[in-house]
Amino acid sequence: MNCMKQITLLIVILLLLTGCWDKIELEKRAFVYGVGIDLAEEQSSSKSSKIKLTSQLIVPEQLVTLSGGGSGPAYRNLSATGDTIINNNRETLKQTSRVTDVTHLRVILFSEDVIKQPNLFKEHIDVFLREKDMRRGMLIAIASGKAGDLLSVEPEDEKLPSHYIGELLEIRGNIETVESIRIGDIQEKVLQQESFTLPQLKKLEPKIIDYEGIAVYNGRKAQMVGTLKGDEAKGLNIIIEEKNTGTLNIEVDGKVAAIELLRIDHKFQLENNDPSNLQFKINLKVNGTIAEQYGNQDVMKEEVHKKFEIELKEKISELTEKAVEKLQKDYMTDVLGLGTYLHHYHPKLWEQMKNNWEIGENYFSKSKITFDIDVLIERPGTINKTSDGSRFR
Amino acid sequence: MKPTLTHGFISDRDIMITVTTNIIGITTLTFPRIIAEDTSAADGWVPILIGGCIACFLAWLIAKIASSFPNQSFFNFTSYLLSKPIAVIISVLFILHFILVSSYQVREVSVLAHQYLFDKTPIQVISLSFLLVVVYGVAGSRAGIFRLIVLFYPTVIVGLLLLTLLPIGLFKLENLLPIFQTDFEGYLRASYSGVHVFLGFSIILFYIEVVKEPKNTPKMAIKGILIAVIFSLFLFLVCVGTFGNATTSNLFFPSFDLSRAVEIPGGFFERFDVIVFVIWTMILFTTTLISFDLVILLMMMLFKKANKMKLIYFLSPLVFLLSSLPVNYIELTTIGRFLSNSMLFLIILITILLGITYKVKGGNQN
Amino acid sequence: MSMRYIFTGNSNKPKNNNTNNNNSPNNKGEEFSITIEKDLAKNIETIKTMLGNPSDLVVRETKVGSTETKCAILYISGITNSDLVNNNILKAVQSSKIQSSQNKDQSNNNSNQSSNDQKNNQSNKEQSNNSQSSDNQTSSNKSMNQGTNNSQLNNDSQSQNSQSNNNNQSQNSQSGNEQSNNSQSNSTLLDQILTEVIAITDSKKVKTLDELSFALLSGNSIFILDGEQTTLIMDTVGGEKRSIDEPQSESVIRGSRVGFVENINTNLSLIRKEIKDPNLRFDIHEIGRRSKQKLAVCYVAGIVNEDILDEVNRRLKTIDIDFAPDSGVVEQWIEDSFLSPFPQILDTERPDRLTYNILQGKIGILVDGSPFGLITPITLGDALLSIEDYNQRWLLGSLLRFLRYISAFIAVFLPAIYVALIAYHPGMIPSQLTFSIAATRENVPFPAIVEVLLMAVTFEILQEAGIRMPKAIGATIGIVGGIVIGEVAVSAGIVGPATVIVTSLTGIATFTIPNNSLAMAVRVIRYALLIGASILGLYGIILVFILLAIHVVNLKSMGIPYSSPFAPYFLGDLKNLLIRAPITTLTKRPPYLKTDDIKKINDGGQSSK
Repeated sequence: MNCMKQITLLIVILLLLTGCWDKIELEKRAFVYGVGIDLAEEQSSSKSSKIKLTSQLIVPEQLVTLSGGGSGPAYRNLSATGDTIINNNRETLKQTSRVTDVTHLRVILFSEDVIKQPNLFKEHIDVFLREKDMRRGMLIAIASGKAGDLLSVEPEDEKLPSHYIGELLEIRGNIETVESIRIGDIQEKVLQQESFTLPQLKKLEPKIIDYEGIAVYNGRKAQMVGTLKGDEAKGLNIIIEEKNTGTLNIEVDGKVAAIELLRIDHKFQLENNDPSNLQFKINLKVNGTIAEQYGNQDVMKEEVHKKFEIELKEKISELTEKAVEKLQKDYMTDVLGLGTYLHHYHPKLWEQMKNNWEIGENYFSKSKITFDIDVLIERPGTINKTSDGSRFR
Repeated sequence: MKPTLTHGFISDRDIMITVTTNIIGITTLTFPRIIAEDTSAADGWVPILIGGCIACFLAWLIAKIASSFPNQSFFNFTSYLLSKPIAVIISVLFILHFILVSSYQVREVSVLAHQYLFDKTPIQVISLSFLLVVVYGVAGSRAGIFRLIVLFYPTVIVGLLLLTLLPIGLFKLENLLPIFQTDFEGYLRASYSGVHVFLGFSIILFYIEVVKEPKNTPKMAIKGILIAVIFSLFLFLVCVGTFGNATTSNLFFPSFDLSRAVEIPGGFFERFDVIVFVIWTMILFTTTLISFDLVILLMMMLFKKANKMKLIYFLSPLVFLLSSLPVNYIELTTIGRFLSNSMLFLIILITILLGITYKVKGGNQN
Repeated sequence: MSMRYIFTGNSNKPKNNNTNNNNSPNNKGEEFSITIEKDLAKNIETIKTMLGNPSDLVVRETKVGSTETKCAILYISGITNSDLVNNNILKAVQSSKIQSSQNKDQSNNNSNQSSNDQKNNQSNKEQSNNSQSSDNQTSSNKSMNQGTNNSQLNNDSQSQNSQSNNNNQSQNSQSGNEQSNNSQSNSTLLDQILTEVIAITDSKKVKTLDELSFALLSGNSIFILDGEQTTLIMDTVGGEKRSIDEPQSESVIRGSRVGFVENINTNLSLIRKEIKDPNLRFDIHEIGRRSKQKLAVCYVAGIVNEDILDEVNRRLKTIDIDFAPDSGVVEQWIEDSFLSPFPQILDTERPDRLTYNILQGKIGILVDGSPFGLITPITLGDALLSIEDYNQRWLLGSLLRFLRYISAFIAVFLPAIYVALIAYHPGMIPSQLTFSIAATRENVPFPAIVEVLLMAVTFEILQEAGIRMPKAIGATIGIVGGIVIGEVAVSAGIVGPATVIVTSLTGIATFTIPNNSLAMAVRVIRYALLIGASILGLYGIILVFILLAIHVVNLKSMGIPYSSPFAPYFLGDLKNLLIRAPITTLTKRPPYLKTDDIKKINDGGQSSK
């Protein structure tokens, strides 16, 4: 009886198999794991600028090593040129034997050229938010040079360049890098015309990608205005980052020491109500530990400890001021979130000046930003000092 | 041994659960967008509360009047209070309304499935298969329908809780700021939409007939609405807190996109929207089931000799045809707005009419 | 109308019997008398003819004690305990020293004479006085006058006597005195044998051939006295029966090792042993036109809901079949919806489970010849419970129950979800896993649904084969089927390894369902979901799931909603279903049963203070 049922069911199923509209078997899909968006080399004279889309497709067989698997690359890069991203994506269908599937898309790379054009970035992330298969957790990064080139970097330990980039973006521990930016996070900012930061990557050599700096995107102008590198990036990060921290080098008595920042709390404060000359005070509370010291200071001593703290404080204020100056004077872009702060806590004031914040009157650049830094070195590490110069002298 | 199916087989708690499910099912998918459109930041909680209170008041009034006619059908007590011709007219209006609601819901399910699951599958296949399941449910006993609602209730509640709790990592308190920046007109318009959200309580008018002890029904109806209000409030706050006001008013189904924003790390289902889609289908199913059943219930009141199965056979093609009428999503939203307006109109009309005549004639007739 | 029909026909239908009796002389079949004659040889011949002169019918003719009265003992070998027959009947009859047999005869003769003298004398007063030097004359008089059986033992023989007397008197008008004389003397002899000689407790007199044949075929022995129309049947039921064994389909780690056997009396005794409540009731029915099996409805009066009990009894009375090979036939006959895949009556091999449920207020049904008892009414949750949950400590019991729910979910949904995800929504699987599965499926020629069906059917075949195989080979089929076929199929590129994992996980999860009937249902439902998944992906699964939910809420078991206690919703009962709350907190019987006695524990374990 049971067997009969199964046989009938089998027949029914085989009959029904023919009518499945959206069915595409797993092995008939080509998964896109990363895309790079570049400006096309030959630009037409049409209104919108042409772009070149490079899609990185997964070759699962190479990715998951089974016995007898070949040793070719685990990915395949296809590119197409056109006006819109989705159209370019369909263009690549001409070159594949499978249907492209973007449900597992992880990394979106925009080349510097694209994002520096006004409005182009805004226009091109629309598809990533609109398309039903796209996730809101896709990571966004800027590529110095060609985005497509980054997708062909072949790291030794990873088989997929885009996976390498994705992991790279999510690594924490360096103060020059920002927290990875998900496309869902910037949707609100793009809608509100707020400015924000993006990680900027660069191809260092054929096998290595380098985190170059923090790209600054101006929401009003809808374009990238510049990149903060080195100390400026550090300064910016100390002001805005919460989770991602790293190390800072300070000099104590002529000897270099490195402080690991454990936690940074920041708090904004508006001190007056004059739109043309706003005064902000940023409270920074920094918590750190000594990670490395080249001198032979006795860190258990109260005054040495103080010295470390003062040096750190000075270093931080130097870095942050450098960053703020660059943002206010050169880029005229508020990625610190002061505008958002005003919008949230001083909405009436914000109503008056929101159209002249980063453009026009440019109240952001005119405002005065001071810092109130509070430093606490919690632990000296596990040892006091490595070389004891005083004892054997 | 078979329980008598004529009168009183559901408890107070069942009516509470039904009210909650029905409210959640009708508008929850889209309401954060509608509320967020008219308010700034998280100010939408005020209109939601106001809407909830108005709905509670209306529900209490209706339930009070209806429960003073224990185990009497809607048609019976309206024709006692308002005379028979008016009762017939009102019933016909409700029948038309619920037929439209059924087809609207059927269509909405297919839209949702198209939005998030399918591309090429014909919309008729999706809606027809859904409608067939609804018909199978309606063809069973009415007690069975209530049991089904009760059976799905824990799943719905747990699902909604997950939906509101899981995005907590993405939730940003700053997105709720600034507070009270909405202008008066905005509050007014959002409150008007807020009342629409909670109109699902109207079913107590018709189902009071089958409640075992209708004495507590007004209280239970209010409880049911309050549960829905609390959930809506949370859902709205989480939506705004996660997306921000601007994004929320820009997403078609913000409640659903909430689940798309979440990725469960290391979970078997990387994307949480699978589970949420299941729950939405269940909620929409129960709502459609209720409105379809109400059509049958009201028609059986009007045509006493009608055969239930024949009515179903007659109505389901009609519902299917109506559901495939809207050409695009613009028409569908227009119909949705029309339906919630007509529901509000019907509710207010019946409340005023019944309220006045109840004051004059009093309840408790035989 | 066949003659045989009379004897195989249901004795509950006297109307049938009567008409047959009237028709009997004109019968076309082998002719034999249907009444018990006075002649012993003729009677034996009748019985032999009736049964078709079977080889296993043992007929032993002998004489009662030292008297010359002939008698015969009949039984069917194999279903009778022949030791009992030899020692307690044959030996007793042969060696009985019926000293007073002559006296008795004489006194009987006297009495007969006198009764004959006073023809048609209604009172029969003298006769009874003479007939026996009895110690209770007045009562005997009464009994004679009433002409009914008396409950008191001492009066029994007398009343019998008087009855037969009366019968004989009516016959006397046609037959001679001698005959009546003879019969009367023997009838008292029969009584004496019954009361004094036969050492079998359950013995009684029967007068019709119908009863006699039923008794004979049930394994009783028959004692026929020459010249007597009344016969004795003695309960000597025996024969081969299986000893009590560990239940095969419901084994537990901690719990009783006792399982039901095929013999209903043994089974009833197992329940009796566990419930020593005077309110334990066994309502006996007889089912099977030809098999005449005993069926017992077990419940505890005072707990059970009378309405449900009446419904069960009413349904059992409608059963009209030749033979019920197992309680499963009874189950299918009385269940509410025979089209449903879900079992609405629970079958169990475990007496402890049956008694637990009886004490919950449910009703147990035992059928002769079946080692499976039935429990009704049940809900969907009941079928997922194992009695072992209560034997383990509550935390462990709850966790195991939870595990079982998960595996039930896997058993139902996993293949369907797998197909839906692979073919429709690969975005919902974690990226790394997607790529791994995609890599392994690279060379698979079939679509996912065909692949899963292929493996699932293979698994079903293996499972079915495992049952039919001899036990020694049965163990190897697991190795051959599971490992060899699975692995070879993968390495040959016919199916992907993920499919094999899914199929075998599903198969194994099915075995955790404690009830076999439900496991069968799950196997069927799984394919329905697979169809849904292959046509509409996840949406199809949801639709099929809702269909099933609608079916379940409309389903009833003996009028009790099958979806209780979820819907209608009883919070108090969920702690005995979702989790297994500590024993002391489970104070109430299931509320959906509306039992007479609601509380199970009255003071919640506080009495120990």
